[in-house]
Amino acid sequence: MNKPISTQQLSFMTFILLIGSALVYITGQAARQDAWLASLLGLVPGLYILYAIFKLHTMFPGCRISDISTQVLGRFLGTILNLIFFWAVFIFLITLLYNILILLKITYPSIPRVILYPIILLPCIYCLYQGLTVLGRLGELFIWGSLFFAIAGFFVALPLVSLSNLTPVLEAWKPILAGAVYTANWPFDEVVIWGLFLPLVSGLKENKKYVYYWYLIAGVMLIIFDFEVMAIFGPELTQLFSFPLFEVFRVAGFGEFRRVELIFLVFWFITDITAVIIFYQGILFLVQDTFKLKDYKSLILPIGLFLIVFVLYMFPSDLMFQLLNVKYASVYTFPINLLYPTIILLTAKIRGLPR
Amino acid sequence: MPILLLYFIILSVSLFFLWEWKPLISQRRWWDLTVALLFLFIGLSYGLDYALDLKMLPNPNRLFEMVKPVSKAFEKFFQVAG
Repeated sequence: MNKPISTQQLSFMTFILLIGSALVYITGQAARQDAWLASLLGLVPGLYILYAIFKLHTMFPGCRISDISTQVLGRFLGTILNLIFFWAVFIFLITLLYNILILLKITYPSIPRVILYPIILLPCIYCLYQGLTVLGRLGELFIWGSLFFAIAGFFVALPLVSLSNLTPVLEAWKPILAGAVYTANWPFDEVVIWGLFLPLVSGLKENKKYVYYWYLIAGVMLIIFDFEVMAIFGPELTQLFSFPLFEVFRVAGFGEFRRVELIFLVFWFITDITAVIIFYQGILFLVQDTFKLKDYKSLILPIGLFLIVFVLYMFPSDLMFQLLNVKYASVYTFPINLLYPTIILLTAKIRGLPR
Repeated sequence: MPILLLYFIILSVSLFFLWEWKPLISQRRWWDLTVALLFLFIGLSYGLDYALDLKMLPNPNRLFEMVKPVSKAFEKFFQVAG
């Protein structure tokens, strides 16, 4: 079932994963007008995570990071670490689901969440039943469209830019660092999920630089969008919007040609749903390795139900989501995603594994 | 409206028994079946709790609450506004 995906497909998926997760948000907005600087700093931990998981893959070829964890730390400690990581991945996945939901709520305000979640998740379930090859092809299929929309989005909103909104630069270093932590956590540290996919990727040894390239391209695009949104709305107005970039496209347009945000909604939906599929697949691998199952296929539907029920249960309102997920979850997911590969890598080095 | 969740619960449980039950039984993958049923059971329990508004099960948000002091300290130190 699990046919290998190519490094090129992995690179494309890296781009879609990052863009899909954070496009409509200004993740570094804690840094106010310096949000773009915070995003620039936030790019670095993700690069380190990519390095760590590639290194682990070189040391333990053919093993997923969750499997390496039990090999290096022992069955007991490795499983505990995997469960801690599971919760971080789970938080990311339900956050992505919630993101799509609130985007869909803009166009379908009267359809209840209970109906919208299954509509979002059923295509993901279908895609996962088709196997990893489909996921790889999804990356190839959507990459150029995503790139086109991202570049077009930048040029459409460019006439609205007012650089005075970005001053003073480097007003205070503490909010910039806070913004960098939030940005590093979401979306850049998400690449830790590739630790579960690498054994299924072909040609990684020769072409892993392309993964870094596409990671940087996505990072640069997100920095540009942060820059653009802050320059258009300024920090105060940006904080008032749930989706600042969406609002930018709402006010942008050419002459009589308006409401371009609806075109971009398709782009967001496609990239966001790909990110959901990637994390859904990741969680299946994680459960498979934790419980030592032969195949993950039998888990697709039960975990689908599990996800929908928990996202409804945990985030009954936008206020709850903003408070619990955006404010509290970051202090859990950021260190976990950073430390999970680090602990495994350091322990493997100290113990001189693999012998 | 939460009652509508029952339709999805019925759909996913039916699909699971339709697609997965037979191959798991015939291949004697008892452990795989147990884990799948465990997730299904948790989903089902929380789903019914939500749909029928029973509020009997522990809310997983308590796990978020555990990191609340760390989050507050982080925001205070880094002067995060809003």
